[in-house]
Amino acid sequence: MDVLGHLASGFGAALSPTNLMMAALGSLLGTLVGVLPGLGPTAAIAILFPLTTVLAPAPAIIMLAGIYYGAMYGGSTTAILLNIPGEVASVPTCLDGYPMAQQGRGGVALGISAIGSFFAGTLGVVALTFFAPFLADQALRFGPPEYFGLMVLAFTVIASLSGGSLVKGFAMAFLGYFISLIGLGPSTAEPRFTFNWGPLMGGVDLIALIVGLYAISEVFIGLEEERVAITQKIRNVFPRLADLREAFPAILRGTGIGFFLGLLPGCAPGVTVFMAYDVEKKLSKHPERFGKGAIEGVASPESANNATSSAGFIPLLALGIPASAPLAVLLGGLLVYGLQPGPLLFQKNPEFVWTVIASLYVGNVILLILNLPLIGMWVWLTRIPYGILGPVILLLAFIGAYSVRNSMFDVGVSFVCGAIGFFLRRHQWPLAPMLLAFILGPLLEKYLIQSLSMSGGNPLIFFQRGISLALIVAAALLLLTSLALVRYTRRRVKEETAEELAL
Amino acid sequence: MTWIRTVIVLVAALVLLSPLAAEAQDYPTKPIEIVVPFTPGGGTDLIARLLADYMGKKWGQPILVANKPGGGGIIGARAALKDSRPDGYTVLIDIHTTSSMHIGAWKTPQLTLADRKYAARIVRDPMVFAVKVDAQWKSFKELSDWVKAHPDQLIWSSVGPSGPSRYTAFDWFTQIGVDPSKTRMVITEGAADSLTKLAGGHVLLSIHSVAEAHALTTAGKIRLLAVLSPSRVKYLPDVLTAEEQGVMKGVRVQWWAAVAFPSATPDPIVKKWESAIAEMTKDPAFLAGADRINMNIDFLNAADMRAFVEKEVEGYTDMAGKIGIRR
Repeated sequence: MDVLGHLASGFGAALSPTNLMMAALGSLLGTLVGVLPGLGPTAAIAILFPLTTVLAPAPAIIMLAGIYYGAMYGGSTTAILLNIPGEVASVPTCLDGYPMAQQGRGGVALGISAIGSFFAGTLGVVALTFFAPFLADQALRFGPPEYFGLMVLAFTVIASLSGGSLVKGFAMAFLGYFISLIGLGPSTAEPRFTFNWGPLMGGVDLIALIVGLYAISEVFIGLEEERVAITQKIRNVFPRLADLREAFPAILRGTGIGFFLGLLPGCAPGVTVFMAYDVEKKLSKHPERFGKGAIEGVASPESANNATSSAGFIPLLALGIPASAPLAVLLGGLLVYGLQPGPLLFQKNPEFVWTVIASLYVGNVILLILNLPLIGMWVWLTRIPYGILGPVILLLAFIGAYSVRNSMFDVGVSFVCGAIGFFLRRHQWPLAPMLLAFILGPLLEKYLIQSLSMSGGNPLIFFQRGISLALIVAAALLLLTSLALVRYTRRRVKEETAEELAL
Repeated sequence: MTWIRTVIVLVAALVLLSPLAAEAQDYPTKPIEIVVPFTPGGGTDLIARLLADYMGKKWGQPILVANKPGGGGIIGARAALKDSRPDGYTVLIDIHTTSSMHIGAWKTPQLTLADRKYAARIVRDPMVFAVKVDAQWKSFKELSDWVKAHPDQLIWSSVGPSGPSRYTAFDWFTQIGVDPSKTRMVITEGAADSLTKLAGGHVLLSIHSVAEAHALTTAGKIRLLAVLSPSRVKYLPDVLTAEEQGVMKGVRVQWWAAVAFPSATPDPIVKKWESAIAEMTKDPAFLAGADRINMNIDFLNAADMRAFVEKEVEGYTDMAGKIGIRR
């Protein structure tokens, strides 16, 4: 296929005044909603989606993509300045971003996050441009055993997300997995823990859980602390040369990890950001700086996040498989306009696909231009008094929880999760392993059952296939290293500060 | 300030009287919600959006599509049929899984036929047997013979443990004399998931509806060996029916979508939908939209639809019992 020719005509369309305006408007609105604490890309797209339905397909999807990118970036802003991740993918950004903000380096963290996002987003789109048709085929080689191996690999991350206590970490992972069991089983459709109560049949919704655990519990904590907004001045958003030098390898690695894992349908930014953060911590000569404001700890997951988001367009457009919740909402958007993603989309609607791809380039540039100078304004937004912001977040959180399935039950779930999250956070139980197990647990179960169905019950299937064998071996190695590293880090932290390590 | 009081009284009177004015001939006087008990992007969702588009233009009222997925569609169907006001402003896109298959598979189903009133069926989408494009079998007959000889080597994908794929496969296995429990069934999450596994060579056979299998067929990733329909389907003129190939008799399983209301909905409103749908299924613009998503439009009026579903319930109750999944 003449990729460059297609791309050129795509740019021709993407740079038309209307489409350019839509990309800018989308980025702006997305950032605006994403910057509100607790609201992530999914909620932002869900809230803003009705606005785009009056447009023609191409500008509407361009605007939606802008909202998506903008909200991702906005989410980083609240993660860094307020320690509130709007989405799983922003959790690792909090770990080092917030300490940086507390040290008065919030501006630099935001700057490096914008630069890393731009770099990864653009590189991701370049790769998307050239590999999309080819990669649509490669993704097919991943069958259930390969996905099972991948899930095992992803699960080893729990060890390093557990903060001080492995016991607490695994207990939380178990709790997360337990909550994910509620509803109809993925393979058997057997009701589990539903107590014959209709609403529980559908299980606990991911968005309601996230909104509850992170946004609503945040409001409770804020009210309890009678929090006043951060008044620190953001002096300088442009990182120093030394900062850049330190962050650049992390940006590269984050981009690589985020992109290649993001190609796999089902591998959401929530997984890759943790892996990127972990790898960075493993490779660092000073892993003890992580969690205390290491610039690599911001740069790497932020880059991975955007690279995964860009890569996620490949399985979305080429196979019709959304890799994450916001992409699932985007998929809905495509279908509203009668464009069915799948291998045919590239052949049937090339002008549309390539206009969208070209607009992703444009969107990344717009986002960078918008964000570096406007960081001051976004910060100002986060400084709205808590008495106003708290109820607004609560309202938006409830709307977000409601909008996914149009269900009041989910609003109740988010409220309950808010109370649970508040309690857990007060007592230093780590939320991240819980969320990870909630997301990955059902997938692990599904791929296990599917693989065993394929092999007639023979577990050797995981070791007879090259890719799955490699993944499982990698998981075992990673688990051993991370256990050793966690033990080492904990000892070092105790030596240095005589305190328990908390993430 | 008496004029303010007058205005208030007038507005209040209008608000209070408006429900009385809203008789069936004026229907609809406010936005209508179409409930799709599945996620966006599936066949049910696409057909709902075409319907919403047509009726919205016809009646000049906004028609909103609300996706309420979960619980195999039962949650959304319950919300529309049981937990909403039976005033004609909540409409359900009802399909086999939320009605006949659900009723057939459960001894105490959460929803029965008594809970709904059908306006009409819009779509009837037959099932197809799909293999990878370079698979060894050239015809459905060849595949059936191979399965008879090697039942334990057949790895096939179904959608859910009691979805249309499983019933179709059961019907096929029974008719060619193969013990279904000897084959290897991989349960997937949906047509996209299942067909991706087929195209990747992880399973050997997938059974889906025409609309679901169409994209990957045209893209040259999968090949269709047979369509389970009384006659060939216009989108697939070269695919023989299972009966033409002498492998299976009759059609017990197919994909369909109909418009249903809570059972207490006034008849005139349901009638109004019935005739509007009859008109719609002849409208060239609507048919062109259905062509785009490869949906086989096949209108059935309210009475015939009722009889059709009742017959299906019998069939699925029988098959679910024999498979051993009726509980």
